Amino acid sequence: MHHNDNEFDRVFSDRLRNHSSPVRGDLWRRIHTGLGTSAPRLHPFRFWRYLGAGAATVSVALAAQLILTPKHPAKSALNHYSKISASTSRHSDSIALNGSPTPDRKQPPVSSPVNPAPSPDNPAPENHDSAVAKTESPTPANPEASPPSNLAATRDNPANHTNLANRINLANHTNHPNRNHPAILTPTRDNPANPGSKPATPSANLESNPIVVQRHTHQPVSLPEVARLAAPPVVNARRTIPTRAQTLAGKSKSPITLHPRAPFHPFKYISVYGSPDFPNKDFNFSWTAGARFTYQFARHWSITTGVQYEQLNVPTADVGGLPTTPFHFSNLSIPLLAGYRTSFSRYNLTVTSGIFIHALAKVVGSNTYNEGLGVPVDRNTNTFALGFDLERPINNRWAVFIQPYLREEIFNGEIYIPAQSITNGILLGGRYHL
Amino acid sequence: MIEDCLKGNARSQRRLFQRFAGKMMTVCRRYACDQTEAEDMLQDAFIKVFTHLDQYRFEGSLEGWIRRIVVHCALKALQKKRIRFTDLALETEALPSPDAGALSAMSAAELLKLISALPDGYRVVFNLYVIEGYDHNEIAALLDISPATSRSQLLKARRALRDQIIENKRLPNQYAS
Repeated sequence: MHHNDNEFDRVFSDRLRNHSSPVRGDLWRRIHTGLGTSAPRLHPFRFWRYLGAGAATVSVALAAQLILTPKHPAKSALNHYSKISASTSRHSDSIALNGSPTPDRKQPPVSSPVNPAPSPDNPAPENHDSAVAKTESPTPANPEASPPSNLAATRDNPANHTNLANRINLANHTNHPNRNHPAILTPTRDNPANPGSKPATPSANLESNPIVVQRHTHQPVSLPEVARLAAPPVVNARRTIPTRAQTLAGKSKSPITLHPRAPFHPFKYISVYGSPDFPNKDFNFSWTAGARFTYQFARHWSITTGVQYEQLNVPTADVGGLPTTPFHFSNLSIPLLAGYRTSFSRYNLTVTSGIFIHALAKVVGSNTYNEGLGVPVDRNTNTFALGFDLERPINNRWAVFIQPYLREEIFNGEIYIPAQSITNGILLGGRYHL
Repeated sequence: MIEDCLKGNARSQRRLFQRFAGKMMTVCRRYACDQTEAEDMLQDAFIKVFTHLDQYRFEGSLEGWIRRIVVHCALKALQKKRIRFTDLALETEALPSPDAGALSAMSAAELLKLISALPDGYRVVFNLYVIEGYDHNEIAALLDISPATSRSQLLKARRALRDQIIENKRLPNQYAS
C-alpha cells in the first residue's frame, strides 16, 4: 500500500466516520410500524419448555411401563370377574378357566361350582345358553351349589370330562402366607375343608379365595396360556400348582408347571460412543464422543453418568444481528441421565433423559466480529437431552447400540445464537456389561 | 433508556432512534446507491436493533453495536442485489493521488456523492476497508469472496474515485503537470 493511499483513505474515514446525515421525519413512523408487526424478542420463559419436555418423557416412560409390563394375574382376573358379575354375562360359551381345550358346545350343560348340574334341588335350565351364562358366585342364598357333589357327578359323567378339564381355577396364592399349604392351594370357597368361608361380595370373595374366572372368548385356551396367565409376577423358585379339578379329586398327578419370572438383579455397563452431530442451523460437520457408566438399579430404571466431548463447528452465525467469523465450540460435559429400559426379544430399548453439565466450554477460532460489541458468544451452559437407545446384545458381555438424541441448550443468558440451541445426532457405540 | 426500550416504551425508542439515526443514515448512504435505498436499509436496521436490544450486554459501545447491525443490514440488502465482484490483476504502479489538502477540503456530502457513484462491489469493499476498518480476510468472510478479490475491488475503487475527482477537476492532481 502506498503512502498516498493511506492519506487518501484517511480523508474519507475522518470525514465520513462520524458524519451525520439528515433523516426524514416519517422514517421513525415507518420503523415504529415495523416494530409493531415484528414479534418482540423478549426473554422467553424457557423453564416451561423443559418442564414440558420432562413431563412428556415421564409420561412416555409410564405409558411404556403400563403397556409393556405384564399385568398381575390375580388383579387381571379380579377385574375381569368383576365386570362379568356386574353385567351378568349371557355369553353361551363363557367358560371357567379350569382346563385347557375348547369347550364343547354340543355337550350338555356342565356341572361345576359355578354351573351346577341338573338336580332336583337345582333344576337344569331350559336353555343351554342361559345355563352356562347364569354363572353366579355361591352365596348364602344358594348353599346348594356346593362343588364337591356337583363335581363328583361331573366326574362320573364321561361326557363332561372334557368340559371339566376345560375349567381352570386361576388361583393366585402368591401373597398368601401359607401358600404352600395344600388346603390353601385349593379353592377354599369350594373346599369342604373350609366351610366357614363367607363370601360377601364377589370381589371380597375373590380376594380371600381362589378365583374362578369366566372368560369371554371363543378361542381355545391352551395350557401354556393358562400357565402364563396364572404366573405370579415374582416367585423365587419354580413351583407347581395343581389344577383345581385335580386338587378337588385329591390328585395332583399332572400339575401345571409354572415358570416364574426371574428376579431382578441390578447390573452395570459401560458405553463408549461417537456421534455425528446435526445441529439445527449454522453449523458445519460436528461431532461428539464420550464414555458413560450406567447403573440399572431397577428392572426398568437406570442412572447414567460419564464424560462427553463435543465439537461444534460454526462457519458463521448471526449474533445479535451480526455475523461472526468461523470458529468452533469445544465443550466437555458430564451427563446426568435417567433411563427407562424395556426389553424385547432381541433388542433393549432405553429412553434416556437428563442434563449435561458443561464442565469446560470454550470458543476456539476467530470471533472478532463480536469483540467490543458486548455480545459474548459461548456455549458455557447446561444441556437438556433426550435419547432413544436401542441396544443389540452380541453376547453375554458385549452389545452395540444406536441412540438418536436431541439436545437443547439451556441458556444461561450468555449465549446469543438461538439457531444453535438444538442439536440432533445419532450415538453409535459399543457397550460392555460389567 | 435501553431498559425502557426493552419494555417497549415508544418514547424511549424514538429517543434512541433520534440519537443515532443521523450517523447511521450516513452509514447507509455510503452503502446505498440512492437515498431511498439508504432509508430502507436504515429502517430494517433499526427494527433489528430494537428487536435484538435485549442481547446488548452493556459491555461495549452502543453506537458501535448499532453501527455493526446497520452495516450488516446494508450488506444483506446489497447481497439481495447480487453484487458482482470481478477479480483484477493487482497493479503495483503508483496511482496518481489527489492533493491531500484539497481532498480534505471536500465536504462530507461531496465525498458521499463520490462514493455513491461507485459500482456496488467497489463501494462495499471500499467502505468496509477504509471506513469500517475491516481487513481483507474479514471482508472476504463477510462477502463470501476471496481476499484477493477484496484487494482488487479496493484498488479499483480507489482508482475510480481518483478518476472521478480528476475528471471533475475538483481537485488538482499533484502529479499532473
